[in-house]
Amino acid sequence: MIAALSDRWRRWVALLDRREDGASLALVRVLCAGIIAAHLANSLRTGTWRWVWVDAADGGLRALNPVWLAHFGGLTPGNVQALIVATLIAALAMMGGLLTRAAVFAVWFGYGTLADLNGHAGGSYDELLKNVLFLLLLSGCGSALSLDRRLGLDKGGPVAAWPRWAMIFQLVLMYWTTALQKLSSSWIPIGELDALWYILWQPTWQRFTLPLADLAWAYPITQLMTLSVWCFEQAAPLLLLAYWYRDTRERGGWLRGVFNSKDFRGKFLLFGLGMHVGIEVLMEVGSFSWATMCLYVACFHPEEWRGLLRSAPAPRSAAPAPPP
Amino acid sequence: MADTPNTSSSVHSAPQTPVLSRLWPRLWPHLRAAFVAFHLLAISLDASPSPGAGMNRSAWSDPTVQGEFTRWARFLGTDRKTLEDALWAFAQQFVKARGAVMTPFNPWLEHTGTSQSWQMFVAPHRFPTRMQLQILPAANPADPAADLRIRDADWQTVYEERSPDDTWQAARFDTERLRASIFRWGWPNYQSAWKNACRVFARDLVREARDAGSPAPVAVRCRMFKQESPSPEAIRDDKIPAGKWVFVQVVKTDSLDAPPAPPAAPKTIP
Repeated sequence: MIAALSDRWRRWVALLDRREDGASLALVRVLCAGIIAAHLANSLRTGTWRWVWVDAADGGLRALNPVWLAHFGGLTPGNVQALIVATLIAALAMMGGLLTRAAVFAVWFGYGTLADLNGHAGGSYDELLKNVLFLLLLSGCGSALSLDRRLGLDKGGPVAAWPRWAMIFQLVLMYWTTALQKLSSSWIPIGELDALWYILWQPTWQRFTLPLADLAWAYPITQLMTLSVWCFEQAAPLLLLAYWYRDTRERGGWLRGVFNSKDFRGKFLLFGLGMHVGIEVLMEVGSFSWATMCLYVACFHPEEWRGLLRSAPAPRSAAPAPPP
Repeated sequence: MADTPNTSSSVHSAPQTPVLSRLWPRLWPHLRAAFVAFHLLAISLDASPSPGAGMNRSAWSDPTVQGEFTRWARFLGTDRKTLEDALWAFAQQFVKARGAVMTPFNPWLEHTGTSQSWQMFVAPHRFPTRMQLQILPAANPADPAADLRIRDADWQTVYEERSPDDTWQAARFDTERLRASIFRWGWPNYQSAWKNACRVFARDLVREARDAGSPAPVAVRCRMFKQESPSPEAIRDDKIPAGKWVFVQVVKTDSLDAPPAPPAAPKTIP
């Protein structure tokens, strides 16, 4: 028993010791920072921050806990605006990979503070982005596609692979546990499967007013989509199995063979991509779909991204890139 | 996953103490493995199903929730009230047990910002609300007795969700953060926040009118139109359910405190 546990522990330690090129994590970094920068810029443009993050005493919608900003006068318009601008600048630095570790820390801290201020005005994308930021903070995401690399502040080289794997685990955890909570009779296969039909009627989440009253014929399609989404989310743990099978393909076995020959991972992510495109087209749920795409990027090995980038045709006018 | 083994030196620097610096290369992989295992365990437990904000009996009185109980009770061969009471008792025990399990992990999740809450569209809202904001324009000086006992037609709509015409601060209301708030204001357990929000809208409407040199509105009315979403059968039979106005808040603008003037207040006026 102890010998078995000890062996498992040794294998776990060895697994986490693996290293890989930092391209995938760098792409996650660029996308995550871009999403946050765009989100904060939009908040500044629309003035949303005045209502959701400024304290009621200064014109906001709610009395809020100022947390550490209490030491600087609380959630005044000036303080909140300064925090947004500082986080936005840090996000731009993070995107470009300039002083990457410090920039990721600043975004993790600044965005985390803002996102937690008003529990009535956030969404799952806040949780998702904060989790991605935390893993990026622990990763070597600045070792590729970064100004740090160009400026010689980061020597590059292989980085720990486990933060990328933790992102894949996070994706599976998110899909699966949301599916476990979809207990409504509108979601489950033995129910009416009318969840999407009614969700699309909700004015709060509609991107635009759908002419649903003219679309009664589409009801069976929404039922099929409801069932597909529920099955897709319930099947999320199989993605971890697919990775295990990809990593141990030499061991054989028919199930391993099926998973690898049919490329379960590719099909799962393709369905997910289609689902998120559908969400983006029909609904306004903030940065959720984009934040999820950060985790999709992590699902691909750096060599796959490198291969994709190498196979992309170069612009006609561009001079050949120098070797790194 | 064609990954290379760790050559150990680049990830972390060894502590300077001689004993530790000797032990560190062997100790570090185990510490890291323990840390990753702890983190994955913490987020997995936190992601486990939880009623969250749904643990509120007044929210359970909403027709959407009641409808859900009715359908499940029918399926399970019991009555709605029995099922609801049993679920409430179970949920209370579950929340208590879950809280005890999560106690050692909560500080970590809180300080790292890695909490997990994935209750996304767990059930469709069959009786959604549509927010509307209206103003009662400045009273006619010839009619100083004008008050709130007025005809409904005297109110002017300045904002209504998804309306292409009534678009006061629509860019703000269209952002997901405000949508999340609006969604909550349509539930009975968020009425205190809704009341405060209406006062803020009233203040901003008054300020904008004054900034534009226009007479300030006498009152602001905030309300929600609650309507059952029709089934496909109801649409085909032309039996769209009637809705009703709920959660009506009226703010007399002379009751507002002098609003603080934030920098660069928006100048838009419908």
